[in-house]
Amino acid sequence: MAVSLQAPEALSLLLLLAFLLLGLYPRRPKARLPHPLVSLLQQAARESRSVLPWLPPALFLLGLLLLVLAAARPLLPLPGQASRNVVILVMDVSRSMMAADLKPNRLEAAKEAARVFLREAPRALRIGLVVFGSHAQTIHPPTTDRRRLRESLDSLEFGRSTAIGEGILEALRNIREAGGEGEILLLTDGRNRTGKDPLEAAAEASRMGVRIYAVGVGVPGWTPGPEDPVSAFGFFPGAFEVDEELLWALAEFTGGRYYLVASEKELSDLYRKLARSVRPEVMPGEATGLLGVLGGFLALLGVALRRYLSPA
Amino acid sequence: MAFKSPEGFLLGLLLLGAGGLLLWLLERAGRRRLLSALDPAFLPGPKPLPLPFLLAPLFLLLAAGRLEASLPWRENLTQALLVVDTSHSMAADDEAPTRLERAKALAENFLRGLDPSVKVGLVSFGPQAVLVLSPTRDRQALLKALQGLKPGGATPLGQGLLQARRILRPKGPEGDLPRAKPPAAILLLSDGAANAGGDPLEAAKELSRAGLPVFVRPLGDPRGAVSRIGEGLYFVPTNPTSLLRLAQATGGQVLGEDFQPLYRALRPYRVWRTQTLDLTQALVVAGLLSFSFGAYLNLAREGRWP
Repeated sequence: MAVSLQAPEALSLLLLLAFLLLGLYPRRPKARLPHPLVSLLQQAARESRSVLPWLPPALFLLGLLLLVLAAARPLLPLPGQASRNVVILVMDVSRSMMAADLKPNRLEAAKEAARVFLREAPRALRIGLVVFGSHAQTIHPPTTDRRRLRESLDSLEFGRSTAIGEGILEALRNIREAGGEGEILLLTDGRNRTGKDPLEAAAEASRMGVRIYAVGVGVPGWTPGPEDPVSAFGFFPGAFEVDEELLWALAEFTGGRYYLVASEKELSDLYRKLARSVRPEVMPGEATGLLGVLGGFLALLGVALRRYLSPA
Repeated sequence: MAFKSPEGFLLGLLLLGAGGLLLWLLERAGRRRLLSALDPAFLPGPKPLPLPFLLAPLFLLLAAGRLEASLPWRENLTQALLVVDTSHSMAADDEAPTRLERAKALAENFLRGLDPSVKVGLVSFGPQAVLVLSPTRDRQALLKALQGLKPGGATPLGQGLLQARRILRPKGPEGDLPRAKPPAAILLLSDGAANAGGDPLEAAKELSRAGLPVFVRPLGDPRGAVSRIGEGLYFVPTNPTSLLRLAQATGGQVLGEDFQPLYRALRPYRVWRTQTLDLTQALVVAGLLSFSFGAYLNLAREGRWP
């Protein structure tokens, strides 16, 4: 077990304990005093030579040592709560997400949906973030740190092409690394243009038992492109249309569901449902407070024992 | 004032409460023991517990709940941003073991020598220019995020730099007077061969206007290299000249193994700020000191510790 200290400089407090220990060093008597009950005192001294009188200072010292250790802010594996499954957020950042059928554009709408998801999802749920344009890229492996996910999400910009299959495969790789159980929340407008076939990737997902919840970002039907909103011919006619068929197929294939990003109520129901079971898990956490309490308890115990053993 | 971990507070209440109860019971038992051995007339008066021993558990109890409070504190506003190239070309093996691994090792070296009060963030570009970690003092998290980077995709160097600008100098409401800018710098770890996302030198203009020097550590053989990536052999270009011009245009420098110029640019800039502080460590130390003071008092009075 590796203990890493976040503030090792606090260990210098051990010097203080050393000084206190110095005070326990028995001094030589300065002079001999005659006493009428010498024999009685000798007997008492012999009786006290057992281990018991040393127990209170030992406990007290142990407590203080724990407190010094706690002050150094150690990271220890602590039991926590984490969901068994993970959810990988797969975001499309392709150029077609520039289309302005959702205000201000599809990418912003997708980001907003993802933000709502981060807000609504149970706290113990581990969420990963994968984005894809022409390539898929894992930005965060599954984590419970919502702030980090949100900041990365806010910083996303447009990429180039659309490789949905690659995005799904990257997400599956993440799920495999995180234990093999999970779901994919796919935020895209469909229209696969490059990379692996999304349906093959979906087959792989259903083999792993991973469900894909596909969220269509866009308004169904013919959509004007961003460059030329009047005549709106993109790379090919209908280039900016939401490919509902593909998204529906991806969801059906894996046992998930297809939603439109506009159906907010259904989505927030889904978000709440996604964390299936929560399991206890050991995670490295800061044990400052815990060790502090333990040290305090031991020190108090030392004081209490001393008060019992030598009450006067 | 808030408890970050109420369950910790409850646990502390339980454990320290048990300790307090034990103390009380044993104190009474000890008193009875004394009474059985001595005549009541000779019984010394009850000696109160030293005050520090009673104070310490309170501190520790608050520490167990991870107390947070907003207090004014000197804060260093200096920020640095690691901008790391994660494009496909970074998989080339002309630096051992690969350019990206070399970049990670360099970033670690840089962090080791850096003032711990400087916030450092991480932006990666390739294929997407994205903020991986916003500037933070948590070096562990940064190192972990750094280890997670993988090569792949195009190189939008310009976009990466613009992301960095957006994070280090966020656009606020315009004021009448120019506001003081805390020092900030960018450490760019790249091979320089940008092929997407705008001209890096255009981005450089904006960076120099924002007062953000780009310190560059070029990676890879300056002539380019032929390297095995995946199945095939590829010619992987580098472009140290463009990196040099980038550094010159923004007032930065090209670095070798030595990060001293960058450390000098990241001089501390401390201001008083009200911020939420985690008081756990301070409270634990307060508990320790007050236990120690109690022990010292007892040592002075009775020649024994607790």
